[in-house]
Amino acid sequence: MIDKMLERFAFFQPGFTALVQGNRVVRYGELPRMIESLGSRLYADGVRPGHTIAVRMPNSIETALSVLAGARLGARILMLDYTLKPGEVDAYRCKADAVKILCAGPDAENLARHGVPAGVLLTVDAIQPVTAEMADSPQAAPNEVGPGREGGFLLLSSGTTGTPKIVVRTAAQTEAALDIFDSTLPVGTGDRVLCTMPFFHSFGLLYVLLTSLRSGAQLHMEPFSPRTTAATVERNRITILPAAPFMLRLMAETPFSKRPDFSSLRLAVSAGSALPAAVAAGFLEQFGVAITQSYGSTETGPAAVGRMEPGAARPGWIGKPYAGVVFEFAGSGAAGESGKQGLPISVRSPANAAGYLGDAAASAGVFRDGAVLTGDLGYRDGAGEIFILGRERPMLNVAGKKVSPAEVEACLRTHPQVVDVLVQGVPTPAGDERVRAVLVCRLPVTDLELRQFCTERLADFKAPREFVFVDNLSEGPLGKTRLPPTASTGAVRKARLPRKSWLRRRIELAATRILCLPFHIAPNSAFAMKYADISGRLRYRLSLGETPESVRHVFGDMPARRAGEIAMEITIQSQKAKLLTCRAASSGIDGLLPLVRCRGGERLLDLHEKGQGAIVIFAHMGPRFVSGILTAKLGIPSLQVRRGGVRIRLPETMEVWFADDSQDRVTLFLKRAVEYIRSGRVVVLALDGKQGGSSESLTIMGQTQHFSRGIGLLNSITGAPVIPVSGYWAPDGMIEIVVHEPLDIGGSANVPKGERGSAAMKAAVKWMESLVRERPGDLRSLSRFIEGQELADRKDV
Amino acid sequence: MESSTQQRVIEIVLATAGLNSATQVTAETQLLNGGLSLDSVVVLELLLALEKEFKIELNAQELFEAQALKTVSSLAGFVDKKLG
Repeated sequence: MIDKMLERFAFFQPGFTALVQGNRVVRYGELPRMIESLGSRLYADGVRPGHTIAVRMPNSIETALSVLAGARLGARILMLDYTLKPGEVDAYRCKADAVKILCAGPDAENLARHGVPAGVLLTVDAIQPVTAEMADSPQAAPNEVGPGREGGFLLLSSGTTGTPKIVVRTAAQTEAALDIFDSTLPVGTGDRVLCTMPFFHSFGLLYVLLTSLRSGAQLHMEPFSPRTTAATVERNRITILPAAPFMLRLMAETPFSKRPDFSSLRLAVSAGSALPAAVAAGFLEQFGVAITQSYGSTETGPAAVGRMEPGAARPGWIGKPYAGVVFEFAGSGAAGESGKQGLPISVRSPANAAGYLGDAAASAGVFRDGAVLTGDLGYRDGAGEIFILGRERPMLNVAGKKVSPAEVEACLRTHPQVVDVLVQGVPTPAGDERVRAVLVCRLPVTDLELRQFCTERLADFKAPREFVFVDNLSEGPLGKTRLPPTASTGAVRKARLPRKSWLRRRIELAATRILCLPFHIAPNSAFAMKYADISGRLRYRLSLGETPESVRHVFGDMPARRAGEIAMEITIQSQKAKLLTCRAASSGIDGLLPLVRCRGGERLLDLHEKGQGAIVIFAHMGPRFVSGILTAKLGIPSLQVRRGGVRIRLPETMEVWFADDSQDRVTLFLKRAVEYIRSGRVVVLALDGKQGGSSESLTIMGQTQHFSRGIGLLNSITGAPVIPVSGYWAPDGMIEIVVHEPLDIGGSANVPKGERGSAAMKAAVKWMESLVRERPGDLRSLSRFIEGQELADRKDV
Repeated sequence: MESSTQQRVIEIVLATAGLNSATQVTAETQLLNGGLSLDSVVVLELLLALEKEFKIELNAQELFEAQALKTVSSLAGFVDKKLG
């Protein structure tokens, strides 16, 4: 790779500008000698072909030269995020067995002060152009590096198990990535590229630095800031602007007094996380440039690309595969066109990385048969366009950087006051997430204390921005959703009514930052239900004609301005809901489909395909709407809606009950549910917030239960897994329906002892006695009865 | 005694950083290292929020050079200067 680059450099005009940083300029004619000079210095410091060196610097001339010099020397280059803490840096150094860390002077002092061995630190500051005489010094590195002996790159990727991983990318794979970029997003000698994406990011390295330099472009390096970046684009007539979606959003939202002149910009590329349609539209409106979205990962390199033309935004759309890249969808063959459900995506590409350094188990899970299992769920339509519907791995994306919840949880668990913790992502308007920690603490701890605790040990972007304190992490039907269903048994047993103070905190939190998304995306569906309930109540009050001022008492001492904003937000959401209703009335479910996406739908599909029964439960959403969406998105046979009735029948698959007029409906539902579940059908229970149930409670057999306990009881009585479904308005204006992990505590065998004497349980037993006349008894015997029936059914089959 | 600008800056810092309680942030709270440890993304969001709130133009480089991001108080002072 590097040899070819150097060969190309020789063809470019020596006077062409290669690198620009402030007032400093390096020309293509100077680059080879500067690379050789730094390579000689590395050699003199003991770096040899095959060694690993780490580069830890913000984008600069020195960073670019360090990368090229290391490659020229045949070293493997570990690209480190310069915001990592010294402890993290040293851990990566040890794992990669790096012999040197190339960094700036002040950073070297900081690292040494925090325990990184001084002997491995190599300061790279203000490299000057090299004269011919200097290049002939006896220190020059011998030309040991031939074709195929380059070391390639090591890039960081956050892991799912708490241990961040290092992705191994060989020189050949790196070159393949450059070729792929070149074929679709070519850079030319006349291009001026603004490097706002950090070079330690795979897109920043492969496209912004290497593809651009290889093509003879001008690279302008400066830290990102909306106004500075816009001014640089205008002043330097930048032609290519690669950036993360959050950068593009900030630029689109910045109130410029005079619209910057972006007429030189021929390509604005978004990479690092999904680009929301609203950001693309805002950028287009502000600067008149449509954004091109590049999809890929550290493991795959470039994978798909598409330009978001005005008015062409489609949810989850990422474009078409780059030339030479093949997308495969598990379970659908190579076509991946089996309906619009989310299927696990594999990418087959010559640019795929080799695996994870020193982690064979993790490599085996992701790098399979020459393809990379991306962890994303999606599909391909008839025109070959790729759509992403969600992720199957719990990974947060913070401004384009991946954060493992497990890593943050592991850090917080070392705090002396933390008993338990769950780390989640909160969606931002830029399409990425911010980190939130939900904690159980022994003694009160402030969020500032916890944040400082994290930032002392982890890079700042990994530290949670929000801390939520609860009494018990299991205050919901699912408990920790990342655990397998069997492991959540304890969570269900411990579920209990939240205290008022806890609810109050939830309301305040919801009021301050959640209400703009009435149904929160939190992976724990208990929270989703809770937010739904709070926002539902407030919308209800407003619909009765209450003014923002009269709603204000809900928020206590909140400033009037903020309460007013919240009320306005709720009003907007209500208007959106009305528009949605009108649209549904005029065009039916099909008219709504473009506005809706579904995550986790494969869970239902899986049950459907296996012929297993389950209860799907949701509240605060019209049953026709949700079941229609699920049906349309998952490709299950269409609905038959009986108008004026309460039952919606899905032939052979679903039975939907809407508890709209009587609490007894839930009881009726249970009677029919057992029959349907035993015949392998998925049963949907829709709850209205005012009557049959809500996020607070669930009425079964005339007895009102706390919601989580009620779900446990449903599970116990029917012996079927219960799948909560929540929905919310996503920041990009889409409606997102989330099918959560099934809850299965193993049927009646695991009913908590304390429940057996309860009125609800007695009522359940009474009903069961009448239902199963030949086998009277408690729930345990009913469970055995159902299991016996299932066995008999299987024998019959 | 906190100025009105300072109080508004505190509110914006809290909202942008996603912090729970106003009582924890004072005029002398450090915004970066050792205090709130705001990362670069939050700082940029904070600047945008301040621009919108006070109808001023802010440049990250300018703020760093003036060491305006040291504490809430220094940031509020910088905003006051911009407001003239």
